[in-house]
Parts: sequence; structure tokens; C-alpha cells
Amino acid sequence: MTADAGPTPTTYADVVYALVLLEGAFGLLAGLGMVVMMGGKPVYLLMPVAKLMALLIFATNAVGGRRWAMIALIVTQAVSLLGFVLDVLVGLLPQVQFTINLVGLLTGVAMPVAVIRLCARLLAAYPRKPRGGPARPSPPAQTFPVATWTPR
Amino acid sequence: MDSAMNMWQSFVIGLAPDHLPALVAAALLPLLIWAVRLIGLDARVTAVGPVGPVDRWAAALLGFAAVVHLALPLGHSDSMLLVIGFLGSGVGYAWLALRALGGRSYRLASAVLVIATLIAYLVVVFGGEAPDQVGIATAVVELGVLALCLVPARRAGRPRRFVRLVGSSAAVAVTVLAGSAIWVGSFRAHQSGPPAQGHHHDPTSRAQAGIVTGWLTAATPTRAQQRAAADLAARTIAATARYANISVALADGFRPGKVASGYDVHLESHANAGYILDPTHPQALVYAITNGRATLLGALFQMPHAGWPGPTPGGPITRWHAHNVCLSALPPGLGLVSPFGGCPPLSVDATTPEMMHIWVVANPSGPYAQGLDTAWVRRYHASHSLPAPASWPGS
Repeated sequence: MTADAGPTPTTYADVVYALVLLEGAFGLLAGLGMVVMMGGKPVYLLMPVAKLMALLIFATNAVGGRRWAMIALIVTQAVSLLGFVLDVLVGLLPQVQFTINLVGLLTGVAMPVAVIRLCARLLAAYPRKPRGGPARPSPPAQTFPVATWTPR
Repeated sequence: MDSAMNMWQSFVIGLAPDHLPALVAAALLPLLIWAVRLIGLDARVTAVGPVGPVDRWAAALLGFAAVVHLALPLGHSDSMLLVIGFLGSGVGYAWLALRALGGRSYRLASAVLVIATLIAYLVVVFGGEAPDQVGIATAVVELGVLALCLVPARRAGRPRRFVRLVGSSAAVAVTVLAGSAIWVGSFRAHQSGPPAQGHHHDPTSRAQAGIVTGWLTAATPTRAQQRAAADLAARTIAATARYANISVALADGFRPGKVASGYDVHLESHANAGYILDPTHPQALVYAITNGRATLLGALFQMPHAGWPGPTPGGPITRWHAHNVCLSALPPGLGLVSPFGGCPPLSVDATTPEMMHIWVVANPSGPYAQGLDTAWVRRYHASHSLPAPASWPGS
């Protein structure tokens, strides 16, 4: 359990980290369902675990202020959204249909859109490093000082 | 037979009617926030200074959970214990949302409340209430709160890698455990009891996690529908009686899929694919097959195209369902859509044409039950099975 000491300086990257953690866990659950359906073959966990690891690596680096990780997260979320569109298109075939539901929209559309928006704000807060310039840009705009918090 | 209409219906059918007031209340939450800002209440709440994005997101998610729980008794007042639980957790979530907005500590209490609420939800689900889209969406929001609370923010010069790893692992573990339990609960609810039996043990699969039940125009069958359902079951029993000997089914072109033994073996006939609810031409037969012996359990009827609603001569008794499955490209395989609405990476989510079982054995839940109790099938199979052909796999 995390230390419960009131507000800590956080950025949108911390929110992104939590969202992609959930997204990875959802994929892991779907992978477990696949394993059960396919006679217990753990090979079906490979892709979900790889995606979870990739998302966590990107999110951890995004928390560290690395622009490439934010861009990578935007790309992965865009791919997720494209996957949703592909599902809808496949559902137009006569043999199959696509079932849209509230949870599917929440996890398949709202969450990727939220991560893309947050990463875009982060990218704006972390300007591109000029060639040959200083290694690290100024702190992000969305950081809040601990000093404003009064302990009770 | 309008497939677009069917897509909308499948969305609506995922929402339990008694959870609709909570969904409406949650949809009105932005209006509430706007009103709070308008009268300046937010300034008093956040008087200690600005809070960071994590705290604001946590406050918003806690606020969503609070509104849903406080509104649930409006449509879900069938148990005083549940009402007290809803109101208690709703007040708790609201209090924690205000603490998060006010810059006070909320993480430990929120994590405890989320886990307690999830456990309570799973107890209700395993008690017979089918999980629905509103309940699962609220669980997703609560899991979001949990992830925000369990993973501490990195501080400059203090990466807290170990604590973050432990928090992340715990959040993933709770999410997978909760999702698995919701999944099992949705299957249990779908398989329990005969159709159209009211709120509890309602076999409508509102989780839509592998099973999507068809649209109902009325909850209670008329006398004419009851007669039609009984007639259809009787005609199916008569038409499939000869398939009690599995060799006859094989001679008629029925073939097993990948699973050739067990208590739920489907033998499909591609020649019957074009028939619609014709007792003499079922699309599949269901057998229990073990130790070289087979027992005919029922017939499966399947619509020729996805999105075409099956005919319902028995009204809500003759209830069709479909399966929403994940078709994986790498590695190639078949799974079920998870209760959190997704498939593994590199998979496509697709829903099959509607299908309906008619059981030809005298099972306790009747001919139109969504599924058979495996323990009952095992006993029935032990006393009613006939020899399968010597060439049958496993014989």
C-alpha cells in the first residue's frame, strides 16, 4: 500500500500510468480467457503480457518525462482505437456481428482517447530538446508544490 | 431482420433495468460539478490549495462511484441490506472524493473501500444477480481509483521503484481477479434456472462476456406462447429421438468439432445450415460422450446470419443467444470477450449468429434452459447412455 501522506507533486503522466496499467490488466484477463478456451495453452498469454510490459515501460518513461515514451503511448492507443474500428468493420460481414456495450466503449474508446489527450498535454509541457542544447527541459507545467499543502 | 437495430438492442440489453437510474445519475454528474462550481462550493472544498492531476482524477472517479451507489436504491430497492450497503459506500466515496479535492489524505481509505465494494459486488453476483454493464463499468471506475491509490507518484530524486512495482502488481492482480470472478458469475447466472424468471436468476447475459442474449419484447409469456413453446419442444423431442443412437446422427452428416468427449459435445450438420428453427433439421446435436458411450441431450438451432433475430414462437421462453468471441491472429485461436469488454492484442471481436438449445432430456430446468447442470448430466448419462461407434475418439 502506498504511503498516504496527502497530495504529492504529480503530473498527468501518473494518471496515464494508472490508466495503461488497467488497460494492460484488461488485456491479461482477456488472454487468460483465451488460455482457458484453447485448452490451457499458456502461449496465448504471450501477447497480453508483452503488451502489459510495453505499456508499463512506456508509462514509466513518460512519468520520467521522456517524450519518446509519450509518443509511443499515443501510437499504442491509436492502434487500440483502430482495432475498435476494425471490430466494427468486421461486424458488417454477414457471418458475424459486433456487439457494442457500455463497458466496451469505456475501455475500448474512452480510455485510449483519455490517454492520448493526457499524453498530448504532457508533450506540450515537455518541449522538444533543442539539438546540442541542455539535457533536460524545465519542469512540467502540471507539477504542484508540496508547500501549498497544510498538514492537518 | 435489421442488424443495425440488433446492435442497438444488444447495447440496451446489457443494461439492467434496475440499474438505469444510477446510469442516468452518473450521466448527470458533469451537470452537478458545473452547479457546484457555479455556487463556488468547489473553492471552499479546495481551500488548502491546488491539488495535482492524480488527486483530481481520483476525485472525479470517486465522485462517479459515489453518484452511482447513491442512485442505485432508486431502482434496486429489493433488499434493505443492499440499500444500506449502496448508501454507505456512496457516502464513503463522496466523502473521499471531497478529501481528494481538498488535498487531504484519501488513498488508503479509498483502496480499502474499493476492495470492500468489489468484494460485496462479487458476493451479490455469486448470490444470483447477473452482472450488467452498469455494474461492470462502475467496477472499472473503482479499479481506476485503486490503480491511482496503489501506485505512488515518483518524486524528484526518489523513484520509489520497489513500491511502485508492488503497487502496480497489486492493481493488476486485483483487476484480473475481479474480472475473472465477474466472468464466472456471469456464466453461472446465465446457466441458472429456466428463462424469464424475474430479477434474480435472470438468464439474460448482461455482462456480454462470451454470451449475448437476444432481445425480449415481453418478460412474461402468454398462454399461446407457452403452448407454442411446449409444442416446439415436443416436436423437437420427437424429431431427434432417432439420434439417441449417435451412429444415426453420424450417418445423417452430423460431425463433432474439436471436442469429441465430455458432457457438452456438439455434433454439427453443415447441410442443415439454411433451416430456421426446424425441429427436423437442427444445426447441431448436443451429446454427453464419455468412455465410448453417448447420451443425446438436446438440439441446437442457429440462425444462418449474424444479426438476424431468431423467431420466438414461445415469446420469452424461446430465448436465443449468441457468443461474442475473440479471433486471435497471433497465435491463431478462439477466446471469449472479457467482461471488461476486450480481446487480447492482435484479436478481432466478433459475435456469432443467434442460437438456441432445446433439451430433449427431462432436465430439472426444462427444455429451454440456457445450460444443463453438469452434475445432473453426469448422473443422467450414467443411466441412459448408449454405445458410441468403436471408431469414436476415446472409445
